[in-house]
Amino acid sequence: MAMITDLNPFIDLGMKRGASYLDIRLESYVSESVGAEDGKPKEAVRSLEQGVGVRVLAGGAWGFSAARLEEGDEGATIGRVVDEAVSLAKAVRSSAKVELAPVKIVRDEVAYPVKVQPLDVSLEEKMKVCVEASARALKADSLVRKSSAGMAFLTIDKAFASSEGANIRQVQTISFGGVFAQATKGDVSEFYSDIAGGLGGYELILSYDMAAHGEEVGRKAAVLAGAKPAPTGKTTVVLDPEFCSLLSHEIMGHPSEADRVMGKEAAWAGRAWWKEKVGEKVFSENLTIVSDATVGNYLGSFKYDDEGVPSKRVVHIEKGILGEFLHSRETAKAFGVEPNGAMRASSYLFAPLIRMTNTYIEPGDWKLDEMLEDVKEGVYLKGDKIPSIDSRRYNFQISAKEAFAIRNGELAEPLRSPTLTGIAPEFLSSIDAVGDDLIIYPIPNCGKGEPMQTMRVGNGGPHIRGYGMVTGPR
Amino acid sequence: MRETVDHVMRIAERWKPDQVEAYWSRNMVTTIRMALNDIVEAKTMTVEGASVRVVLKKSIGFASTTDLSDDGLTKMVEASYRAARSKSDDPDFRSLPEPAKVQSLPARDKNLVELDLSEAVKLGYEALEVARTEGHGLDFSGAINIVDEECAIGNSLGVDASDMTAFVFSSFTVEEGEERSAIGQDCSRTLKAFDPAKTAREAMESIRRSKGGIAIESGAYDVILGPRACAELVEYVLSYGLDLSAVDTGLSYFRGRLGDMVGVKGFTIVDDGRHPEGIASKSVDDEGVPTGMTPLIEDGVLRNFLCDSYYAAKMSSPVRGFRSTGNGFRFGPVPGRDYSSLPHIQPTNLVILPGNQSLEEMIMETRRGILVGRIWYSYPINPTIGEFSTTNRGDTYYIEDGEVRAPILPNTFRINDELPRLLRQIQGLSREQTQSVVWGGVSSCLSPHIKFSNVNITYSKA
Repeated sequence: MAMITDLNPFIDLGMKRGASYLDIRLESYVSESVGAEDGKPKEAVRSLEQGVGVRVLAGGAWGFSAARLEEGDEGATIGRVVDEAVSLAKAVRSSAKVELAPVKIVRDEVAYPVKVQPLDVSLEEKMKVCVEASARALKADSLVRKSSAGMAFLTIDKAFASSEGANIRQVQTISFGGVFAQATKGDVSEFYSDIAGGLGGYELILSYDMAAHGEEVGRKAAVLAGAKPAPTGKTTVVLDPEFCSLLSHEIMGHPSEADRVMGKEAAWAGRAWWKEKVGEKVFSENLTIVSDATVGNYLGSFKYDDEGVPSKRVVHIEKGILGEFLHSRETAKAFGVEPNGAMRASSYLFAPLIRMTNTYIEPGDWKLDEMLEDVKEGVYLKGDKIPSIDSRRYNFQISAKEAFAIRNGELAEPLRSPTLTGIAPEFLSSIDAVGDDLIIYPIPNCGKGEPMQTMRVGNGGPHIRGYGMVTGPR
Repeated sequence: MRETVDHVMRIAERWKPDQVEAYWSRNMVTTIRMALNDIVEAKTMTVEGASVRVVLKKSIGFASTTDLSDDGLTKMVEASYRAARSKSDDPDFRSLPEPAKVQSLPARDKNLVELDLSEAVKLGYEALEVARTEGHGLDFSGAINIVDEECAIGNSLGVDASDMTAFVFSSFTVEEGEERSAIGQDCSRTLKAFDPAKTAREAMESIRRSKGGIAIESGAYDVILGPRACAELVEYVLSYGLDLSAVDTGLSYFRGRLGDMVGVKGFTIVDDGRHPEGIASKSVDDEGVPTGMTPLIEDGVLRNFLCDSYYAAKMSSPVRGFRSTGNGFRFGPVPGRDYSSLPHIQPTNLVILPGNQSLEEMIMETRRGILVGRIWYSYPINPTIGEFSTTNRGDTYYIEDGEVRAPILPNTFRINDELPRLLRQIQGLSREQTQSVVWGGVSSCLSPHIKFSNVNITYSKA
């Protein structure tokens, strides 16, 4: 990031114009993506983006402005953006004055490890992998009609400085790979997709083995197209770690965001049904649910959030009892707690919001075989497809990518298009077994805010077993 | 706006591509966000940059940048050239679009474009004034978004187009705990026609009608969806069914159905890129193809799919040819055009033609039903069959024997059904039309009230 390094003159400018607090984020994004379809090359894309976002408190109200940066013209642009942010904050005559919880002022530089820089690998090689993966998906079964494979890389270089003296630079590289296949049998069209990735370089793609996954994805799409429809009825369900990733995201992560709890996201993103239930038992005592940005190299892993607050482990549910929420400095002050490093913006264009980090169900000690063993009749739901949740995150319906009947402790025939419908506290109170096989998946497109921002988060869990309503196609 | 495009074209000539397309956009979005009866955030975002598609034989490379200096643009073209050279041909690609006559739309509203940031904040206070005066004990939240977008496109076949549009839209939610919820929305291409106080009042009037809410039993109901609820289903569930790229991937539930009756006679939906009030109206798409009126379903018959130049060529066969419908757009992280992505198929203003009934008549003819003003999180949970799931967020009423009997508590039932089935069970459309936008949506939808019979309500708090 060849940009201005001393941001103090701009902070001083904003403070002189009437700000009581100001932070500046200088960010650059270098991205590359490659894609193939049906064993043929399709897209090769390279992008460079750099810009500045300035957030200002003046008169107890927030103002924010953002714009691109061009080398040689950075000073004038940052000055203008500071000016706009201050003007906007001063135009707001808020009756409830924003106050920020105090934090330790940090100066630090963080570079996340990358073994193989994605841009050091030729486009030709990347395209070859995508072409092979999509070709193997297409050839996996005669029912497969369509396939695609792609990979994407993003290097984010973020500098953060605040009027309190914080000065932080963080560099992260994100790498993804994924394969899709669609299969048709008669009138039935089904699809299967797979994605892998996180913080790191091309080594993540190498370890993913896209070509082998291509074949598996094609085969699974064909099995689904030929599968019988899932039955409808209340039954014992075993959910795999990938299905749990969406469950933990929608039902456990979102209502743990303190801005929702306060009602500050009521217009679109919604509220939290458990607002008044801190300290109460809301789920099964077998469930402990956390958000933790300090672990691993997942999409929700980072050292400092976009307010310069160190990330930490936050326990939302401990043995079924509701505990902590995710906080900004503003909500932490309102709740009388410590900020816990959950404020992130999807790019310099946006003011940060409270976002999940890596939100997941803690592992237990059950093996999958043991979970199935006890089930006379039930359904094993694997992978998440698409959710629909109510605005308080209370009732939900989530479709699974694939499913199998469970009969007498054994996995039986495949089932297509199943959904799990439930009321959060009822279904999650029924969880009687939690596996020892935690996996955290990348969710690159979590939407929140106005205008909507899509954020990268990690979500997951182990296998879990409960009792719920499974619905098949009409 | 032309200079950057011309500059990119000149740089690209050095690389001697077979075809090249240069694109530039600048998009300014100002948002005044409200929550808990106050303005909580005032912000402005300027998204500006350029992109280029370099074509070598049939291989396309794409690159974009925010660095509009000569050096920045040169690096962008070089990256695009290298991307095109890195791979073999894409046999489905035919050509970038040929030039076509573009008819401009009425000029942007000067008052909207030149609105001072502090004046934008005042629009928020106009709404809040209503909320504070009339909404004691209620939570008022929402946002006003003002979008001012410009773009320019040129290609080596002679496309030379530009466009400037501006619009404003608001969405206000009023709630009382978990018991009552109502929404007011407004969309306009002019500042004069935009009235935040009126919209706030609309939400207030709606929530006054919502006292004493009940929950209903699960089962099959006749459902009258209001224009905003229809907009949710159109944006998230119907529009991908009508997208030619989704036909290609097998996700569209209308694959292989062109010319078939897919809805009732009397149900017509068009994509109107030049609708005089439509906030998604544009004179040209992001490939330089003029926008227009595309009938998609006409009197129940599936007539066409939305497409861009790539999929029009790819999906054409000797039996059925497609032409770009002018729906190749580049939409990005904030509302409006965005330089940084390749063109994708996107709708503009999706217009459902009105019917001949009044809402009152539709209610009178309903023995046991629901009137739904706002639904939420309406996603196709099984997209290949058009199965969707959604919940009632607010403005919802129980109808019995031709009369509205009671409001229904928010978030107390779920509609889980298949849209292709429901399109064949439309019983009536109302005479009036309302324009709506949905959260994170890229298009607008102008819809009447639509009544569907025998809709599946799967979850109920009752």
